[in-house]
Amino acid sequence: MKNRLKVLRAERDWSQADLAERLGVSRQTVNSIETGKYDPSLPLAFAVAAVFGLRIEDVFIPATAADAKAAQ
Amino acid sequence: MVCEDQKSWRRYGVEFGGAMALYTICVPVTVMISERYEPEGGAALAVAMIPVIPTMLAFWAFMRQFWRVDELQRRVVSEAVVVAAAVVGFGSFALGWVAAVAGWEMETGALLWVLPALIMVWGVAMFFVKRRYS
Repeated sequence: MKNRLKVLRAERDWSQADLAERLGVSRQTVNSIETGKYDPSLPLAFAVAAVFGLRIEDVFIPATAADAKAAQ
Repeated sequence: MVCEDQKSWRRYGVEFGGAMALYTICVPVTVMISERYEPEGGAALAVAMIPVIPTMLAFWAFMRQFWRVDELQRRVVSEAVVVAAAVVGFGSFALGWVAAVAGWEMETGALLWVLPALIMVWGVAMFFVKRRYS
């Protein structure tokens, strides 16, 4: 799953630590989500969208079938 | 500034370290009692449980930290526990079979190494599992 975390953070001039604090998670978790190494749970994904004041689909982009195939 | 995450790991360090410090006191006490009084039956069982109590406190500290951390850290810890359980479980299973086939005499004290092995392998597994997500 892709996401726009880095762009959204940059727009608000937030560091990963700032976002982590707002979400109540570790900075490492924000980094792992941002780099696509970890897909957050649905509640956390909703929380991420909420701190940016956006809908979940505006932050997270589901992997297409082609992406999924490439990842295999 | 110290964030909540660092605080929780520090708290875990204090709780786990305290339990382990207690363990280092309990071991010589247990050895001393068993050598001096040679307890039997229920008394032997009670004396044998003395070092188990601090390890259970350490486990409680571990669980408290597990419930405090966020979902990714919880996943990392869980995956490392699965790896450690598999390595130690299959390792001791294989060793048991080797001992049975080769006719080795296994010392009863060998079982004391299961928990430290589990903790040690878990620590190593944590390092590699963490790398997968960073």
